Amino acid sequence: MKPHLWFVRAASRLVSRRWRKEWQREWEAELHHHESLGRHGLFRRSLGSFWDALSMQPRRLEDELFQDLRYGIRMLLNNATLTAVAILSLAVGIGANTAVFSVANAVMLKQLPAKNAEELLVFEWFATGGREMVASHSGGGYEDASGRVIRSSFPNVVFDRFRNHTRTLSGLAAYQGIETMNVSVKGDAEVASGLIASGSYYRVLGVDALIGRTLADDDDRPEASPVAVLDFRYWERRFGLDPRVVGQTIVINTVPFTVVGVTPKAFVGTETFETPDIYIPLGVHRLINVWPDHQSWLWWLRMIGRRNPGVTVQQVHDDLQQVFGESVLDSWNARPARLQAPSSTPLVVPDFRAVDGSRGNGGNPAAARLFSILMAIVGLVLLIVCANVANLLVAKGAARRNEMAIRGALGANRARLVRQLLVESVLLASSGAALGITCAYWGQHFLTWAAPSGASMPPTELVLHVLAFTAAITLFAGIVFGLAPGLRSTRIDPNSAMKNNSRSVAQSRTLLTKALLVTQVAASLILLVGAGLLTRSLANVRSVDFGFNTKNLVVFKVDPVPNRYTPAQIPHLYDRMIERLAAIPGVLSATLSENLLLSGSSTNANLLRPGRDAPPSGHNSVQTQAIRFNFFDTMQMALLRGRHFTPADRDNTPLAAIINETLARRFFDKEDPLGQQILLDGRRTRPIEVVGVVRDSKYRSPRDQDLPTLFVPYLQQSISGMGFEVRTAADPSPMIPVIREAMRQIDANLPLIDIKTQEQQTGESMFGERLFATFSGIFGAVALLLSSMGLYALMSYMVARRTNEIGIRMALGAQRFGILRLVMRETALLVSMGTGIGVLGAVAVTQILTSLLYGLAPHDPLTILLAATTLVFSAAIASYLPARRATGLDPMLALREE
Amino acid sequence: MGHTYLSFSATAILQALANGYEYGFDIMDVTGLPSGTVYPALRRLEDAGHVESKWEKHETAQKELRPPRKYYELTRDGERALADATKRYRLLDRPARWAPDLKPSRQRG
Repeated sequence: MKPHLWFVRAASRLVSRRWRKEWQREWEAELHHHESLGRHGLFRRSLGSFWDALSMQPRRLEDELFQDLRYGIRMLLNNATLTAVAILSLAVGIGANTAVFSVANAVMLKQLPAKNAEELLVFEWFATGGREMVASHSGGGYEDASGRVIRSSFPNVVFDRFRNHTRTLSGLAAYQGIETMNVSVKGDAEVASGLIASGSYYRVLGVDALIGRTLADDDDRPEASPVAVLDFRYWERRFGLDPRVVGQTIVINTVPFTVVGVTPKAFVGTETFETPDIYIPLGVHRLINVWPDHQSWLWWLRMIGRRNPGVTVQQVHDDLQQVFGESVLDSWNARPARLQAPSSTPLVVPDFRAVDGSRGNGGNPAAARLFSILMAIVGLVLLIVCANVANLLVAKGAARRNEMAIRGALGANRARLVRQLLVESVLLASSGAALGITCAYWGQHFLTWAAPSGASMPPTELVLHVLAFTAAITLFAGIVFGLAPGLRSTRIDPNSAMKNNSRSVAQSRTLLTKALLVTQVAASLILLVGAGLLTRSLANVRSVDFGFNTKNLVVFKVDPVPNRYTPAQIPHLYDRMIERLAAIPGVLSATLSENLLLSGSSTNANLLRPGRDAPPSGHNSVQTQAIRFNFFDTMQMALLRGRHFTPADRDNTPLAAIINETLARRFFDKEDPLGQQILLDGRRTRPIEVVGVVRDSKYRSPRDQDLPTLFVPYLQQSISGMGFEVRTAADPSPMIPVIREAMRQIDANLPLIDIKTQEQQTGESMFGERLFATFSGIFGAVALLLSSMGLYALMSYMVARRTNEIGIRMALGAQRFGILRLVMRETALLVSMGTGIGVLGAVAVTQILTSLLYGLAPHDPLTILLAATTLVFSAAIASYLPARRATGLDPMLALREE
Repeated sequence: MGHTYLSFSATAILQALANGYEYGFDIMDVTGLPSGTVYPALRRLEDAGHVESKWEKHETAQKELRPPRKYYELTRDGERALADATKRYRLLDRPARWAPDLKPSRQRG
């Protein structure tokens, strides 16, 4: 062959098949013509064909990709069910994971929007055994892994001395939240939350004001005029983002404060779930009467500090340890005489530690556990989704062996076939991902919306790397499993593939498909068991005996202290309120208690018996509740022995207490508790006489179990805010406005806090159970649906492939039942394997639910049995439907089937 | 077709087509451009709609015992683009170094 023609032919291999022939003809004709004219340099000219072929490349790609895409869409639409299942699965997997991880990120992982947040640290203390030198502390604590209770409030003296003596901190700030303040703006009163912060607070955090200024050290001087800084959300809600708010006066607990600034939106305070509305300086907090002023024995301040660069947390601890010991001793010695109850237990200084504060205080371990459970749930869903999509695609890929063989036989090269499969897989996976992002966006808002009403959720945003991660996993699964079977089928010899297909026993499912199916069934079972456990736990909590009548009850809280009522005036105010309430038509009675029932709050004390050794620390803790004398009558709690309190039980009469059954059992065992004397450590020096025993009831939450509880007359205790319980004759909801109006007549400036029915309160106290039961229920159902659909699709596919074989078998006399058994046998085996693995997995995994479950163990056999039955049942239906179709086949038609 | 900015070689090719040279190799001869430039440029011009390609009638080629050739023609767009471009490339406005032995060949049927 002439070299120029040879070169053109070689170059033509570069040109896409569709254009190749024409292209080659043009070049050959030109060269031929040139040659016929007797010209030279033919070969040199033919070299240009190489560049020409290269210039055709973009056209080839566009052309073929477009073809692939169009064909891909057609193939996906052709298999609409399978496509829809796959896309929806992907969307659920990507969406749920991204939403949960985004919220978890905002709640747990995100650093404060502070400068060099990693330099921040917070302080905590914990008992080391024995009786701590802590006269009184406020604020909750949490139990760490070793069961120690970790608390984070300190007395003033520790803060002052730390600040003056530290050589390792560049700044230290103290603060404490105020749950409710009565705030009035231009004569309009409302309840807001607050934070008392030392003037150094914002400087330590390195947070600047959005408008105006933040608190400064000068604001802490006792003679400074009271100023306030607003949170962005409060500014938005109450002032409509009006920048003229700076310089305006607002009245907090009857004291005028000047607004000096607003913090940026990104700043949500230093406490997880608690974003205050208003920040006021520590120096002026006594003006608003919330915390006892300058009582150095009260542990009430939280601290956040900034360490010098290069200083470790341990160095901070060593630096301050001696100062801490001295301060604790001083604080303890300053306690008032009434707190100096005698005790023979040796006193110890609690230990303190500095921990990373880059995420603020109260890295809430309970919330962390909840989110780890949510993450486990959605992680399982993701696993099921991947297995499901993979399984569907593998089945689909295998079903297309014939198609691939034909296309190969018609001249498609392997790269082209693989590219086609790739395009389809990417198309499918990216549709799923796009829908998933939408789901994630909704899901995140759902989670924020579903948060408990008291918790202010930090603003969340979709975390792009999480989205990228989940999208990548699912895309990867989609592509790998979409491609794998295709790769295999493109490798086979078209001739044998096409022959192989029809009249023979169809090959059984591959190991991959089997493994995927087993995984899916196992993961679904784990989710179902989890959902079952949480649902049954909710049912248990719902059906619990509260020990009092929750029907027809309106509850609210009142705090007259901020409104300048003196301790002497308050009992009279309460008496007037109770009288007024009881006079409302439709109200049977009204009463008071220190804490509303099932509201999550309670008061603690250590119980001592005079003349006896104190039990080891932690074993003498009891709940106390100060009540009005008619509390048990109004709440319909049964007094078992002794007497009720009477109006005569006042501060000038002997102290009396009524105990519940659990307390009687635990502290008096076989003795008769009536007439016994007890002491409350850290509260009273006078002994208290037990005058009655009342039936056990729930106090903090429906999940309470055997809490020893001690009731005292509220007039025998220092009085501040109280909860009101109003028993109505009928439906309590319509009574709420009536009650509001009646209370306004007593004092229009006294807001009723959280007025609601007891049933609402009870519902809120089960919020966690409800949320998790709903959440796991939804995902359990999704998992069940996904697995069933996956199984159904697989079985249908298998039946379709074995149509021919089934026809032969039936023609040879196989009975319907035999066919059914044939089709279902393998699936049954796989499902039972999956179930077995799932049961083992569930027993291992549901341990993390222990803290959420009420009244049943995480490996509750009945729940596992129910879940397994549900799964096996739906799997049976999913595989029976296609199997029945197989038995209904007409052998003649089946044999003709190609 | 929008106003594409024509390169010098593309303008030269359009000019050659306007002057009646309509085969790839003839265009090379008349413009002096190498085949590696002329053909890709023709493809681009065709994609841009400045040029149309057609095949010679089979009978015409058979009479001369040679394979049918592919020829290129200016479209309306191409003429317009050429008019625009020649304002920029004044040099091309006059005939230059036409190969003397090449005549416009219009023997297609």
